[in-house]
Amino acid sequence: MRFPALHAALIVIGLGGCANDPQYLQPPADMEAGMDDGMGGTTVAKAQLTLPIKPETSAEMAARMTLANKLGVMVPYVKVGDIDTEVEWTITNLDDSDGIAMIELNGANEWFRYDPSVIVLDPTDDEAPPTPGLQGDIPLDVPAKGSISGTFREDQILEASIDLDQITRGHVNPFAAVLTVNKNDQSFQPLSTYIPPTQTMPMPPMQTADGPAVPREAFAEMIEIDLVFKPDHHMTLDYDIRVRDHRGIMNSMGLDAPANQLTMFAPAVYMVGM
Amino acid sequence: MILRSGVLGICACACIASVADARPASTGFFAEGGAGVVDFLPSASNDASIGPAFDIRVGRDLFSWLSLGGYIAASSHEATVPPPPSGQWFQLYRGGADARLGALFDRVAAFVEGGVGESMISSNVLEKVMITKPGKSFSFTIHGGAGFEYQLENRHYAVGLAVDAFIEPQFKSMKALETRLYLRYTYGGG
Repeated sequence: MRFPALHAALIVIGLGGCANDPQYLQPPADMEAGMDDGMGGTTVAKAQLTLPIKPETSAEMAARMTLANKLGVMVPYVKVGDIDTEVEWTITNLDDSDGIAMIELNGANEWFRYDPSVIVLDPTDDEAPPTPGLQGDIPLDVPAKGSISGTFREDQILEASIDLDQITRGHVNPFAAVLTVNKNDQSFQPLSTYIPPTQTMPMPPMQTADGPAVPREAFAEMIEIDLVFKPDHHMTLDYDIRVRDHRGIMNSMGLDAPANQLTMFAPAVYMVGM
Repeated sequence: MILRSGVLGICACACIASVADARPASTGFFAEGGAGVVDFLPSASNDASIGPAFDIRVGRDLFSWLSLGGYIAASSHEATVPPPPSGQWFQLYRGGADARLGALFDRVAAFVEGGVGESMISSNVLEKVMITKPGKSFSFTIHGGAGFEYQLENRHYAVGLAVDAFIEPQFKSMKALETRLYLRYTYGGG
């Protein structure tokens, strides 16, 4: 049964009261890892969750193209500030002994997916540190048969989004992007493509400024959250993603939305030298 | 002479007594503003905590014992679903129409009320426990309850205490109790 006037009144009250009501996205399954992998190590679990974003309307596309022409750089459909994303998680230790777990957060914007496990910055150095993830990778003590909870906050996801854009579109070194605070940056200067050192060319050319600076209005927001769960004992990771939509671009059906009501992003996996 | 004075005195007393016994409550158009709490009943009480509630109600007394009105109410609750998420709040907005049957006993009135309307939940945080369904944030709502009202010295004003139960069929038949204290102003003089 519907009461159209009342329906409208409730929406108005709801919008007035809580303009930023969050939407919670529950992944279909927990992540489970930390079992013996048969090679002397423990298994690692990976998960990807793409945000259910509605297709871009022709008016939005026209406005985006106008802005792109004005700024002289590519402008994404989902920009920094359009949504605020947070990841809440709970780790449960299924083992009888205390353990340590790490959660690494990566992701993708609509152009590029950042996966540090496929990025080798210096192939000539076997002892070079691994390419960093965008957030996390902090050892967490998990008591035997116990649980701990935590959050990747909105400002951390914002930082990760800007780092990702700087690394992929701006060719900024991942270490430089991740180890500096960029969430308040108003622009970044894209660099020339990073050329990794080789045996024949141990000192590749320095990167130089390349193209116009990218202003904050054109920073890309992450539209996919990737988690890597690395426990040293048998544990599960339960998580959900909380999104505050400031632009009305999230599909209210969430992960149950039909495919034709979603934007099908196809980000390319970022590799050095791209 | 003495008899005449006595008759006049009795008439004067009767007049004064009739003023003092005038009906203390106005009837007519009224408005109420209330505050209280909404507490969910099992099984929804496992997933949503008690929370503050506010409501506004307007209507008209058709008779001294029957009034019809409309209401809008809002309450805020912490979602206590299994984490994650944890520490998250949601709001429940309700609106509808109701009828109230009452009886006035001197300055105290007792009443029963009931009605239907629609509710809107502000987020899908209860989707994890399947109270809400994907993309659905509205439910038909039915409520009923009872209360007491005390008429203040000024016949336009009354304060009351009401307890209503409501059910939300589209939110997994979630049930709750609303308890509220309210102030009522009646515009009419009759």
